[in-house]
Amino acid sequence: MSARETLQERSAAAGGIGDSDSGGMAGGGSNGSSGGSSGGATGKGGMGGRRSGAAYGRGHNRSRNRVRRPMTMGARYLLLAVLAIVIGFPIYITVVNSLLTSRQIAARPPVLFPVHPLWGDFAAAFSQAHLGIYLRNSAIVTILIVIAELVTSVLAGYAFAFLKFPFRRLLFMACIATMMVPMEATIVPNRQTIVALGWFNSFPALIVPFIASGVGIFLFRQAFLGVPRDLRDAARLDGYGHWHFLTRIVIPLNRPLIAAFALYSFMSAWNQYLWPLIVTDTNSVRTVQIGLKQLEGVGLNHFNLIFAGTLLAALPIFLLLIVFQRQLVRGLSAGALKG
Amino acid sequence: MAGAVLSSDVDRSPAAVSLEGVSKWYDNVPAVQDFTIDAEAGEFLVLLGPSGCGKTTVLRLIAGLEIPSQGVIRIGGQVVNDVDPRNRDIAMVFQSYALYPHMTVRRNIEFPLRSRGHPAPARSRMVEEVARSLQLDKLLDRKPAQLSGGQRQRVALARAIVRRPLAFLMDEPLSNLDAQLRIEMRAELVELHAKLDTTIIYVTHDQVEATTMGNRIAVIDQSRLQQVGTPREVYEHPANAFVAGFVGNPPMNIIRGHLEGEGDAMNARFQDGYLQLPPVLAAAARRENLGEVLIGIRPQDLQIVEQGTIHATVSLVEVVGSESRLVCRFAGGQFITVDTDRDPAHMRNGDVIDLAVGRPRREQQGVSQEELRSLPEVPPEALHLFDVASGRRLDP
Repeated sequence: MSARETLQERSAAAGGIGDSDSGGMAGGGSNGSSGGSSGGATGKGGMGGRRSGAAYGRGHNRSRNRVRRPMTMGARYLLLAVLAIVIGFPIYITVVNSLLTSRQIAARPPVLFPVHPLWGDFAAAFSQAHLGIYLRNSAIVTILIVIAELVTSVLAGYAFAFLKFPFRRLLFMACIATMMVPMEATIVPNRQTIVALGWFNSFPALIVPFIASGVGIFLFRQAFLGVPRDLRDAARLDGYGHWHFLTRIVIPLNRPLIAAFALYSFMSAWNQYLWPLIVTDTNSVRTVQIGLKQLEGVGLNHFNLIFAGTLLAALPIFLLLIVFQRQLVRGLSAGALKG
Repeated sequence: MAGAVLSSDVDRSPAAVSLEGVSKWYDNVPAVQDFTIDAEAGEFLVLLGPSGCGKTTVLRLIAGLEIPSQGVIRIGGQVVNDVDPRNRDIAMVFQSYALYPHMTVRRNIEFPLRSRGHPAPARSRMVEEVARSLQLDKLLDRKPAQLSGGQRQRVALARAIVRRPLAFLMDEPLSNLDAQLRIEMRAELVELHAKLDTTIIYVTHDQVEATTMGNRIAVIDQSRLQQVGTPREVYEHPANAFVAGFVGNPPMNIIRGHLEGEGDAMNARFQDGYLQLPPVLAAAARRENLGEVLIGIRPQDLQIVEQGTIHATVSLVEVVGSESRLVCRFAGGQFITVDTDRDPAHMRNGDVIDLAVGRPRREQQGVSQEELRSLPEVPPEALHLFDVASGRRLDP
């Protein structure tokens, strides 16, 4: 959710929420200008400081810079190193624990390096805890959600950005409104709907509620508004309708954003816990996050299995992040550059 | 695919484009009103007007990017009001160039051919042919971001040319170029027009572009067509005070004056002097029974004389090449521009000068300096009279 909120904030900052083009632009403009003015104020303060520094004489100022700069850099790297340890240590200890026996995990002081790593826990996670089935289910659910969410978000975003139709503003507001309703508020009626549809314990129950996303529609609509209107007009004169304009111009131009959104969508879908828990109760359709919880039931003395399972469950996201790191950064910065 | 024919293999005759009583309203705001104009086949017609006058809307209406609220648009004699832009066989060059940023130059030029089903070898040949003619052949594998403004402009032109449309629409295509490049591209566009023998409808707010490039100019203001004519016609016989003030650099001086006198001896008097109207103009003013008129005088038709009927104070002296431009002020505060070939060293801000209307530089040969000192006769062609209320020109 936090990842989605970040996307949402970025998008809002890039274009505003107004329905009409001018409204959207105006929103973006005001954001930009307020940012600009505050930046200007900071700049002025900086200048003032520099001027007062100059009053002490050039040599003094230069020597102070010489001393300060390495210190500032050192402090920065120290802070980054501390943060890296805070973030990295839990991951490291999970890897270590997955290679230890349960007795070693419980030992005090804790074992920080596996001298005789036990790789068999990973195989056991598959054989004893049915992790293979859970991973397969998660893969099916996640891939279908990502594809569906991308398709619906891109199409709806395009429609809101480029087409004129009755109730456009109202419908867009309805999409925005879905982002403001917390999942907890809708979870009970949604479950009742799933049961009434006869989808309990089925893949549709895990997938269908997530095939459209207010955040995605909002995000792509804002991005597509940044595509120059002249390109649309040029494509029309070149003989291309909406479909070809979308597939040959708009999507290629927004590829980094699409990759970034796909990644966030993947993470959200893969990490779901509560919803799969309440609409399934058999292993045949349950996803890996619930599977990890199930691992606790295998036995109290099998912490190593839980750690191995956790690593296996996190592996796809980890790999995706590494592979798509560049697109992710470009996607997050694309709106800012366009704006 | 079988039906596709190489456009370069076909002798495409240029098409006439005509608008008849075309209007376009956005909600209750008029963008184009009662617009009637014919661009003949093979003509270079320039739509000239200030920002927001509706000239780009006219272009978009012809292209089919906007639907007219009323009126008829014809291309090649066929009514195209309900024809989709892709089927109008019109190419447009945009002010922003509208190049597809993720495609190479080759792909950009090729893009309109793909939609029309040209086979790959033919596409390639046509692209290379056009690229060679516009000196783009070495840039085919670059992306638009790697090109200069002038090169992008050429790519936009190439994309328009490659499919040999019935007519070209150009929306201020030179406005993003620097001054020097603009002059070069102006000449290239005129050459291109001659080479392609096609109809071009060109939008600009730059009257120099309009007068140097167009076979005819259509001047637009406040969503209405003001005048259509050759550059010389529009310059020498502006249909109204707006056209008079808009076409020409520097613009025509427009002074409001009261008419007085009887018979052929009629003067137009204003706060800082008067002008004796030539008999033909006096007759025209009398025919219209006007008490007040707008008097238009080109800066180069005003001469500094020893004793004249107009008095002004010099505010600014500008040296423009071999000539000088004086910006003078009347006592009432109105500015008046005077182009003179006098040495500006003799002029100082605050000098009070006398002016008379005449055209000595054109008729200078054989005219002595003494004769130039006073110009009692006002040549009718140097003076333009307009109705105060409507701005309409009073023809002799």
